Amino acid sequence: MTFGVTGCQDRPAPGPPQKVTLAVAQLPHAALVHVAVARGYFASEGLAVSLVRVPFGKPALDAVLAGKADVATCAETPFVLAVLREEQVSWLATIETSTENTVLVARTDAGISGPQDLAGKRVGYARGTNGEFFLDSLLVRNRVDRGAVQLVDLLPDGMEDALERRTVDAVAIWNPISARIGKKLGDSVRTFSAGDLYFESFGLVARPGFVREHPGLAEKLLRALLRAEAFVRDQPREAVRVVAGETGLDPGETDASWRVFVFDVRLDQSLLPLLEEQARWAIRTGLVPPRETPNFLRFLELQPLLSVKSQAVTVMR
Amino acid sequence: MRLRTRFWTSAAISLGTVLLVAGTVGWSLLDSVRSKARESLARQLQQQVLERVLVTDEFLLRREHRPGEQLERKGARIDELLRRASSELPDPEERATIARMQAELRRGTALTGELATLLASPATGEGAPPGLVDLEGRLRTEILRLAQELYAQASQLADSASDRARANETRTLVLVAVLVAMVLAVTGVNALQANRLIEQRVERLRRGAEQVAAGDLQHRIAISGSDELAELGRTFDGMTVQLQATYANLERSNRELEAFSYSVSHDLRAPLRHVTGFVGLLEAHAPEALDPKSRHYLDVIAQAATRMGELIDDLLEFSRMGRVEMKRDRVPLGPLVDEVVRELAPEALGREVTWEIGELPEVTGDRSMLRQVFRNLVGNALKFSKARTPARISIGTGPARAGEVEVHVRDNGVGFDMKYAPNLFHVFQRLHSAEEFEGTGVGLANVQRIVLRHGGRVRAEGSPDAGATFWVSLPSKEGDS
Repeated sequence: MTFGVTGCQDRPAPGPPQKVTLAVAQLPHAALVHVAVARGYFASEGLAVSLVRVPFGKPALDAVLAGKADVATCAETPFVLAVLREEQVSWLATIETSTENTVLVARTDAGISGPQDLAGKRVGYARGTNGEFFLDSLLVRNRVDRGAVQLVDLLPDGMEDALERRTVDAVAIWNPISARIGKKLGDSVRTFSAGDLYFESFGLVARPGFVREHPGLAEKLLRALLRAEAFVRDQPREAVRVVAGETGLDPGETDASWRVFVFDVRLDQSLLPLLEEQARWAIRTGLVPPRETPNFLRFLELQPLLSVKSQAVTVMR
Repeated sequence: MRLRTRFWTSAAISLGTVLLVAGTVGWSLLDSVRSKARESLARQLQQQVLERVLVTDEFLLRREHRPGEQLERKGARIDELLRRASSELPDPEERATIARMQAELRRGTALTGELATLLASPATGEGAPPGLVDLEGRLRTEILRLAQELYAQASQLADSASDRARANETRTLVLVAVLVAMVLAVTGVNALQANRLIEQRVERLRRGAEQVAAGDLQHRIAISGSDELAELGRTFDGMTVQLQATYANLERSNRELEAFSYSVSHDLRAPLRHVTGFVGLLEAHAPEALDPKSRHYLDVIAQAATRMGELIDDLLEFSRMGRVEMKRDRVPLGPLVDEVVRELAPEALGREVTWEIGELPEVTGDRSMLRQVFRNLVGNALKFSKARTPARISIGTGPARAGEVEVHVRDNGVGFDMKYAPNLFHVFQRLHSAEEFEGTGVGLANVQRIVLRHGGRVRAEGSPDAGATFWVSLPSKEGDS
């Protein structure tokens, strides 16, 4: 049995709902949030969620840092950079992972037969996002000197046009934009991944003060997301339809890219070396002033997820 | 339903239930064993992955061949366990986890190989170009990340398998408890139902038999059904109906017999009195008119009439013995027999008779009737030993059944052939002629009738010309007839 996108089959928890503003990327990465909103899981947990819809994760985190939202969905790179800039931010849970979501889409007519051909080429990327770290990983993997590549900072939504108009030879971008470019430009582009050196994590972040000031709220958010995880697992086709409806994305494009994502709510020990590696990269490449690598254990909020589903937390404690 | 059918049906149901229980418990136990095996496999996998993490750390730290080689072997072992787990673990989520672990293991192994190659390259080490340093760093990070991810998933798998094994154990225990209770309930209910049915019917049969034994021949057990006990009830009722009819016939016969006895006593005596009377009158009226032959004929008529009168009296007495109400008192046999011997003393006058009378017990019975018994037995002993000098008559006791006493009367008289023993106690049965030994042949029949009414037994043993012994068994004073 399927329900409408806005169908809410649960009764809300008793008492006045707790208000929370959630900045969400209008991307498949945040599928669990989109499903929780559409299925009324937040409401049944007694939460009145106001959404701030943004095109990708970095502006969602920026909204939290600017006090315009309480919680955000973003990838690990903006989070690491925010920590390195000594912003007060905590990672509540990972809600999506992938090794193939972010890719390099390159014009074949630019003489790019593989990532090793990027030296001397113009490559579009979104600064301060995981696209930037992905690109760097691709260059390192293929032993291409970073300095030999002409990096062009672009907004994600502008990459398709830039590639089409040949203002760049390749772009480092994620779904659904990468799929859209591939569909539009066909054989004139090729897609490359970072092989096995890049692992994407997309998470739920918040200010630690917000979590402390609203005890129980983070648990409610996570419980709703866990229900969304079960829905996505049990009804993937319906989930695609819900996410497409919530994000305004093409259902066909969403469905085509669905297989690259793993949607589950967790806090893994393996997240820490990933965050530390990105921190070392950011320090090494001068994205942030020189400093020691932070202890990211202090920037993980373990307790809410431990309370709700302890087996989803493998961070050693 | 027949009892046999009910029994076999009940047994079949119980057996079927037991088989179902055994099958279900067996399946559950088997499932439990399989779960434990899977748990063991998952724990092995977890242990191997943990060891791989330790060796990975060592390899990343030391950059040496030995941990690298161990890492490779560990990877092969884990790969083998993952393939086993993929075929043995049934849950789709677990299989998805295993598929991810296999992919991550492959990646980790490939990256480790690449790092090892990189480290072996003379381009790395001090003074290496930044790009190689970065690459080495990234490889290390990803190898470590993959190792940790692998361990997290192996732990999840092991915990899931453990949970399932525990759940299966609990399920088996609960199943055993529930199914055993079910077996007990089914068997118990079956047994209770069958028992109640049999008990009810047996109780009705018992009460019915009691009622009939107490004399209520109108009582009917009336058990409906098709089983053996219902059939027994119907047979019993049929028997009661027959008994009722027979009893009615017997009552009718008794009444007819009483009427006959009365007729005999009254209607036969009158003509007999006439015969005896007119014979006497005739002898007195003209004694000189009767020649010796005529007087002899009259004597014969008188004797015959007298004898007939004795027969009628004895017959009446025999008939009365069967009908008169019997008293039940404590009767000491010793004084009673002494009294009988004294009463019979005239018949022993002029004879040499040796009496051996032992200590005789007390019995329960009718004194007058028992006196008649010993009057007849002792009288017979005296009569049939009249040709003996001395005549020896012994009266004593012998071994008897519990609740009885046995008294014998033995003589050394003419005895009898044992082939006639069955007839001894019949009415009018005589083994000798009236000329040899007087009597009507009713005495022993009377003895038997009286002894039987007392609930006892009488038997005789003898041999021609070697005497006879009569045993009378009677209820003792504590016994009952």
